[in-house]
Amino acid sequence: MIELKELDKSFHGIRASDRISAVIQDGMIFGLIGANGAGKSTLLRMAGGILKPDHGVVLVDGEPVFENPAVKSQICFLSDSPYFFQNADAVQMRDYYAAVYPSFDRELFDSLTRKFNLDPKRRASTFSKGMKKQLSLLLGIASCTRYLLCDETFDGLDPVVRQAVKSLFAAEMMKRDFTPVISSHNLRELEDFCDNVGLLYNGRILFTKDLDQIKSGICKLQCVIPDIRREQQLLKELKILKLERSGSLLTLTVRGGREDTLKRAESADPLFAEVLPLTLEEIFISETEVAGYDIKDFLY
Amino acid sequence: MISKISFTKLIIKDIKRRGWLAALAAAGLFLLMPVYTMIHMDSVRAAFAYSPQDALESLYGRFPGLISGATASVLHIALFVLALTLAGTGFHYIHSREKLDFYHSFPIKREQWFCTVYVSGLIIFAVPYAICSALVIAAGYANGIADPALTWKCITAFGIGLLSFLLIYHTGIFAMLLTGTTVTGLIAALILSVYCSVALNMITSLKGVFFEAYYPIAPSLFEKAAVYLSPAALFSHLADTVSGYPRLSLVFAALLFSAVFLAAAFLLYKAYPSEAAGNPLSFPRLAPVLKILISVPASLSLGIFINNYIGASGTKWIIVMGMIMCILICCVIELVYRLDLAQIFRSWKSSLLSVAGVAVILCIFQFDLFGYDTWLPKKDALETIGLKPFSFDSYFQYPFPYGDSYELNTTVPVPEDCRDMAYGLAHSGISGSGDLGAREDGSGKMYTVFYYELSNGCKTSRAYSVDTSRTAALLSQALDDEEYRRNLFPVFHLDRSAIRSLYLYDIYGLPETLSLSPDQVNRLLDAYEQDVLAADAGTLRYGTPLGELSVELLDNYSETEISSGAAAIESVGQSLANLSGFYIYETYTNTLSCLEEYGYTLQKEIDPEEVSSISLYLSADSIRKGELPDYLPALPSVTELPADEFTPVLITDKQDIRALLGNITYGCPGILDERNEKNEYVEIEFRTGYGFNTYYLE
Repeated sequence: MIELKELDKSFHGIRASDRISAVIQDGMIFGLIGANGAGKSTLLRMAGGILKPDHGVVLVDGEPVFENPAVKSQICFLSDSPYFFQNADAVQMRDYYAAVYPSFDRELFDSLTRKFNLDPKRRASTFSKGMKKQLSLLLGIASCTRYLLCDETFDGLDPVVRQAVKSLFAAEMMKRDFTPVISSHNLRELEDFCDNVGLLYNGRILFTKDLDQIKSGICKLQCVIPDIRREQQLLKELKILKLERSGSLLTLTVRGGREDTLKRAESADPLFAEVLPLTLEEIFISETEVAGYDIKDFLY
Repeated sequence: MISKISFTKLIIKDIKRRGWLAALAAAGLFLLMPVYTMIHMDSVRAAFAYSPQDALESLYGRFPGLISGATASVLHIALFVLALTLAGTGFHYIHSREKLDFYHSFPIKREQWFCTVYVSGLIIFAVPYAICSALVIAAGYANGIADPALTWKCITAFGIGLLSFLLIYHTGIFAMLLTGTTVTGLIAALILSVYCSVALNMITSLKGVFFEAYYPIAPSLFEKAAVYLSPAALFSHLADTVSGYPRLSLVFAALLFSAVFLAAAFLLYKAYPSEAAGNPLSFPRLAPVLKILISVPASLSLGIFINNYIGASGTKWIIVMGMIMCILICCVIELVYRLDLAQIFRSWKSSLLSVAGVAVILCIFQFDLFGYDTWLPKKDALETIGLKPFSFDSYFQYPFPYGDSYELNTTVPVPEDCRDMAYGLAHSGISGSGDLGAREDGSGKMYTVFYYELSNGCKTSRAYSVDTSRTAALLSQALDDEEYRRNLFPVFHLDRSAIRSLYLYDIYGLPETLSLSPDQVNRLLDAYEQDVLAADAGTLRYGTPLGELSVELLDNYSETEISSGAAAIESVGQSLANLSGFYIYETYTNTLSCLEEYGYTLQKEIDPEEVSSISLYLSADSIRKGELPDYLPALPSVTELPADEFTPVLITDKQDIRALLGNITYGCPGILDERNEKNEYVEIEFRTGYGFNTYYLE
């Protein structure tokens, strides 16, 4: 379990992390989302023991990460712009990772490069941006660390590879104690992938929640209720996060279960009523608006 | 945890990563050490073809320098460049966020990273350097030069070379950690290498420019410190000693500097902020402080340099250029910091402080706020006082090597009973200082250096224009003291065992080698010493010498340069030096009779028949007037005067030669440079060639 406790970090007077506290549970895929400049990379770099927080501490199973090789050997950090040695090929990079990560699995790496069709003898610097990210991901997975911190690693991957990597993550999670932490500014990318998500905005974490829990606790209701009195009664009964009216059609974002919400709507004798699931994007818009942030601009 | 085996693996991987540099270092050192040694040995042998033994001795003396770089300047430069390159390529990753993330994300402590990169850099240099040093020694043995003693010297030279490398290597690493980009890292390394030397030498330069009484006779504390307080100066001086045994103080200073820079770099690495990558400085708060520290000495030094370069007189332009340079340097530093021309005036407060700092320093010197020019030690604080009129430099030649202590050795304290007189003379000079041109215009003033040794052990000096007659009176009284004479006259400082030849000059100025046995030489010099001790001040001031002795002696300090083929070599060790100016006056009866006894007679007149031409150098005054001086006889053959005082009038007419010979006198300035008042002189070409003498006109 990774615990982020009261993390503060400023660069040249700009606060990149503002008292961030969160917990990343083991055995789940944690998504870290936020706009550009929200502080995702900074947070991951602190979690990976690269940056020392100005205040606060990152703990892995109760042990601080910074300058702690024993803990860091359980974490692999993949940067948003992967670095490979000048003129090094995949094999040389593999050997280097194998030298620094005691648990590195060369066979796994070799088989993965074959599956991903990466030429092991080709210089990494000649790879395309997407191929570099693939190579970086394969090195990270083959390091066999408990935690894999991916900083925007999925950006630039084509859909097929992205799907393959998701499968790989799932397989690894089945096989061993493995917790990927993935940062992205693209919510749709993480929607069907993460178990838990944390939302960062302006260096602050708005919340971290289980995605299913979020989805089961919030829904969208569309209905037409001819009786104004009944409509008002329904609106009072529901915990409405957002209300939109288009003629007689009401579109409500409501906190609560889908069945319960539908039951309440039907009791108001509607002409039409249906409950729809919310996309992750819609959930975050709603939640962040409730939290007082107008994030429409940066989410779209 | 990472095991020790991993540490070794990491070092090997880092060396592989910098494989190109390892290959370059090995190839470069191979060419500059064993290959160069072989070429050099051939060159020296060719240069000393007439004397194989001399070649062997020369090579023996220079051999350790072929390892330390002292006698192989390209190797010396290569050591410097390699050290900086290894520091730069080793630690440049901290200047890139991607690379820093890559390295620091691994489960390895920062100190281990530091050690890995540091050790791999050291191995890349030290292994080929050691192998090449061994090859150089082997080449020495193969050519019959090396022996066990020389091998030991070569091993010491290897240590010195390694220490020199470490000094710059550590400086480079420290500079890389102070900065966030490789360009600023390199600039910082160069600044760190020379900063103290420049700053301390700047103070000396300012004293020389602003203070009228400034005349150093020994290196000041600042100058001495400048050698020890900057890595580049230490690097240079460590290799200076070709014997392979440098001064221990330099070694300790180099060790200390290396250790301090390494420790500082290690601590900085641990605290190095990752966000510093890409920024000019790793700790931006230091930026204004560094700007002031750099801009103030740099602008003053540049101001002095430009002033000297354009040949401006006075101090006005130093002040102007110093201020302009300060503003420019501040702008350049801001440009380096921000890489944005539009923001060069952004940190104007620190720029203003820099300019104010320069202004304050210039004010201190310009207005002599600490009273340097008017300072005179309290009489009761004086241990000794010495004086050296400027004329001594043309009258005496000492067997001391020119260098740091030459002036100190040649400034002789006056006897105790003359101290008050000397003190009074110095006091009179303070009010007259600033009138330095007076010594040349016959106004009765003489530029004189005073040397004070204080009772607390401090030694210092000042130079003033003082009254010539008072100086002469003081000198006359001082010359009554035998010890003073013994200290003053070079003949008493001769190491007679080092004398290789004696030459005698008379009015003809043609050297005659004295074929004397060592005993005869000793007797002659004893006689000369007796005559010097007995000579009266008047003779020394105004006497016309009959001739002079010149001594050729072994000089252990001089360096000569021999060029042979492609290799230019500095030959250091024993060479021959000539000392002349052992004037023989008519009153030097002991010397004259001794010479007579050995069969050498001094000619007192020049036979006009033996003269083929006379070159007459006129004073600027005579040339301006466009006529020959009145005191000269009529010279009908001279119809036209030269355009300047450096072009002689060539006289070949027999009558004119005969006439002119009646007016010449032996060219000896006299102890107070009072003999050639007319500033006109002649040179004579004899039928057998030119003589070495110049002659004054009467």
